Amino acid sequence: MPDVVLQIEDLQKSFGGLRAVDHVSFDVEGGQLLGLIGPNGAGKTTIFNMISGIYRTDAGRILFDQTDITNHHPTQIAKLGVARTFQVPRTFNHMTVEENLMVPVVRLRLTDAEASNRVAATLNAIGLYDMRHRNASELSGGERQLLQFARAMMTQPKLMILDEPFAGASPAIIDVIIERTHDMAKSGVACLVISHDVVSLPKVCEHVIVLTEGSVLTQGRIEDVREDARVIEAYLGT
Amino acid sequence: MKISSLWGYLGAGLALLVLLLVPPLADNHYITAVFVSVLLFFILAALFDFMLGYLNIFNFGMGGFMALGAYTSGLLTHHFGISPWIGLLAGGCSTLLLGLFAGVITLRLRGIYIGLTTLFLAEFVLFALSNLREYTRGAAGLQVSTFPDLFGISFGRGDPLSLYYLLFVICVVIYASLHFLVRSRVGLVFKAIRDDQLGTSVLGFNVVRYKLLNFAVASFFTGVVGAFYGNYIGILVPTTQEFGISRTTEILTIAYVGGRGTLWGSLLGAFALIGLQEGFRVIDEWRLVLYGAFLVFVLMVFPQGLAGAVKQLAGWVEARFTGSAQQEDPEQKASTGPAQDGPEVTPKLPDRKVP
Ligand SMILES: Nc1ncnc2c1ncn2[C@@H]1O[C@H](COP(=O)(O)OP(=O)(O)OP(=O)(O)O)[C@@H](O)[C@H]1O
Ligand SMILES: [Mg+2]
Repeated sequence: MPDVVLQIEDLQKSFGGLRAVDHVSFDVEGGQLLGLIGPNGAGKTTIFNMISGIYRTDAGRILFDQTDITNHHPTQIAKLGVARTFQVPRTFNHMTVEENLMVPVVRLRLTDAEASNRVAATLNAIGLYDMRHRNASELSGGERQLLQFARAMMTQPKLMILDEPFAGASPAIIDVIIERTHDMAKSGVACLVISHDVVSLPKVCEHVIVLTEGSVLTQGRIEDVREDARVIEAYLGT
Repeated sequence: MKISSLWGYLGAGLALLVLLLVPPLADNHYITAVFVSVLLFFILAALFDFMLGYLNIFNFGMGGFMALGAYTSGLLTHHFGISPWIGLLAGGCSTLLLGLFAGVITLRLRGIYIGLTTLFLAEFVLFALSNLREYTRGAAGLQVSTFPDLFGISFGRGDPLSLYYLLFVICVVIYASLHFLVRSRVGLVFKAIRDDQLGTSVLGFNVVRYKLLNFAVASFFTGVVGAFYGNYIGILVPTTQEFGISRTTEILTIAYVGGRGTLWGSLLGAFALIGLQEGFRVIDEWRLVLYGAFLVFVLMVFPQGLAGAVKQLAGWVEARFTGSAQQEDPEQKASTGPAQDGPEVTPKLPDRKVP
């Protein structure tokens, strides 16, 4: 049996009267690439925020590597090996591209030479090497997507959760993100990807979970799910 | 070597020359006193900026923190005959404890809340010092003895030059420590936290711990400076003018005029404001008004403070003489952003909307 990295059990979250996440359960295995799709407001980002400890859960459990991390602090969860990106890219805007990638490396306790080698290698791998001295605030939206993706990658996580990694990115950048995501999965990292991009997502994931109004509608292979009448209805409305 | 770092050495060299040579060459008690003020305000503003410019921590209690350092040293000498040299460290340690206490209760909060709590704590320190009259003599004033001779050098109040050089050494040690910290990996994380606290947390950094470290270092050094100050002025009175919010405001103004997020800018700020103040002695009571007007003026003309103006000038000169495009210094940018954002007042992490 492949090792389960993330277990979501009966997760719930309401905002006032709104049930944003309603009895959601699923697992992600090491090296698995799993998609999380659903219409706007389905609760996808809310699930991510609970996994990374930013929102408190109302009920349910989140297990990472067999450890209960429900409602743990974001710092602790990140230290255990969960990395994430944000739907609206977050970068350190008053720091250079290179410094942005230096920050996660601080925690790895490398020598100066090792650290700068690793940052340079990543900069090359994502094609931002020539921009390394630019301030992050000067980057385009797509470049900032790439930068926050690379920054999360630098933490050497066991689980990577990507919230709309392709939004606002050009095909070239999307290709880089897809490639690097596959590399990570090959080395055993579990990846959970939220995306509305019907072209790019199938290039990353074979399996998806479909969420509507806070609950899992269905899950399975992406081609099958796309044919599902309930999914079409959820996306197009009635 | 990059040309821009050459400017740094040039500036540092010039500053050291002026600070080391002008007071002895002038050989004039008034000039020495002015230079003591410049150094005191420079280092306090640099400490203030170390907290504000690098981690968005507003310490509105600087004055009270100084008072604690000054009184710790003064009282230890007065009641227990402990040497003022040890008092410098003791002042630092007691203020470090106050800083840790303030930090533990406030650093989970943001911006204005930290500012208010430090202000209340500092006011409480002053209140306690005024009211524990049996020990502190309150408003009657506590006599502080001079530093005993060291290496055959006299540090009595009749030797302002040796006191000045003592302060100079203290400032070099503090500045070097802050500079080293800011340039280190820890400093990198400081800047990351300043830019995006949540973004730094999800990379696995304990934000509160970094803030506490920053605050503890700044508090310790503020206490040391306070202890020196007590010995320098010779009599301690716990007035608001000396150690209250108006003192903090002066420090804050110098830090802002100097340029947020650039430690050395505080030296420019201190020279500018102390110079201005000495030039307009007659309006002493209006000092803070003058400070305010100058602050508004400088920040309107140079949004990044005097340090930003100097960097621009250096870049311009460099471009003129090398014909190359102006090299942008990332730190210069760093000082613009948060300054414009102002204090963050978002109170709680969990409710923050993360789209
Ligand atoms: N902090 C919050 N306060 C109140 N309501 C919230 C909060 N965060 C999310 N919600 C609500 O929860 C529901 C789910 O939001 P969520 O952001 O998880 O959707 P999503 O699936 O990520 O949508 P999208 O595809 O548009 O990003 C929405 O109705 C949203 O308004
Ligand atoms: Mg979302």
